[in-house]
Amino acid sequence: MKIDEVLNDKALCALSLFLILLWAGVRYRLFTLPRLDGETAATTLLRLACGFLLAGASLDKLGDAAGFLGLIKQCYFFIPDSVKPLTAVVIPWLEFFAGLCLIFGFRWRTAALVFCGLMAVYTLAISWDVLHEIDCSCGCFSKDTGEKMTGWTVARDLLFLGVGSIVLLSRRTFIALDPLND
Amino acid sequence: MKLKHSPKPSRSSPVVLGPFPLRKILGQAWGLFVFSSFFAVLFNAFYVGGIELKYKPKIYANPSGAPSAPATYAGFSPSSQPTSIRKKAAPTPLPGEPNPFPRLSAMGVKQRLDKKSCVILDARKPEEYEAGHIPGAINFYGNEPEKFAPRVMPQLQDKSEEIIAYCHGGDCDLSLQVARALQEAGYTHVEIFTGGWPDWQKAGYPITKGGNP
Repeated sequence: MKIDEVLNDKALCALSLFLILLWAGVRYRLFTLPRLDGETAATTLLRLACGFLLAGASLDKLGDAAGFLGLIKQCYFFIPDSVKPLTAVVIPWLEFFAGLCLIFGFRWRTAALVFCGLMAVYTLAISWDVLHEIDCSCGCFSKDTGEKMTGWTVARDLLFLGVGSIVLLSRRTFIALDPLND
Repeated sequence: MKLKHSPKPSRSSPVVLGPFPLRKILGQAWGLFVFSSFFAVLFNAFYVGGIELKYKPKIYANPSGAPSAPATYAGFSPSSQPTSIRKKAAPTPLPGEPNPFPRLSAMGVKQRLDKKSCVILDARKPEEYEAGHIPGAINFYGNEPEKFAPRVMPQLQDKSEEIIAYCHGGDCDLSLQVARALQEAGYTHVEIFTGGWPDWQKAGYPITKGGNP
């Protein structure tokens, strides 16, 4: 079973929304976590979610640059032709390393910035494709799933962007090599 | 005199933090990008599935080295241009040009095949087709539409029928050429199986050997 079949757009929207609401709940003290800094705990959860999403999204593309290049050619028109091969090679590794940084909490705010940057670019590209009714799969978690991009894909990436922004703007986290990162 | 120890900071004591270090984070992000790029290019250079990083428009030639005829789609008439190595017509969609061909996965193709609701075209070379293809697929070599169109077109009477083209997957453009050719010939429901033959085999779906049915 492919990861895209389980983590479809609607499920990922719900997951992101849940994480954001959880963070907002502890941040604005709607509920508290006993003997634990609730905001930092929620940030840790969000950081790990971003890390696993990013690293997981890169895995299928790491060894198949040709497949990813085919997808970029089909769906991401704004990338100049001359840069497309390099993009197909570099982006999966950038996702992978940024994901690892987020998971292990090493320079995690830097990785969160990369996460937000990638999500912003993906959101713009997917929105353009959806608005112009271009039929192609986004290749977000694997290079070819046959699943088409819809408004849910845009919503999902916007929520990811929200989750990433919370991690980027937070100052502390647990279970990390750099807990403070300042 | 007894020395007083300073009290340990409690777990909940606020940590004094400076302003948001945007510059530092931007610098580190640039570092991460450079490191990833360096690693990715190095990996690509040594990995067996690595791709050509330098962009060059594709030029198609026969295995014998002789240049192949260009793909002229409208009416599938052979070109009257003098023979020389020619660039393939429109290898990729232009920026801003919507790609009209829906993309299918191996599972999507299998579902349609089971329902017998589509025609499948194999855009690879005839010898590759004969070595193995999707059951029921018709060979339509993407680089020689003028040769294959007269054989295949009579079998595609209904122009609104669902037609799926595939080739080697990945960077292969042969299926796209076939799809464009069919679209220009008036077929309205053309799709591309992007993973192509490698994905079909990987999925373990049935295959057939031999020539055109």
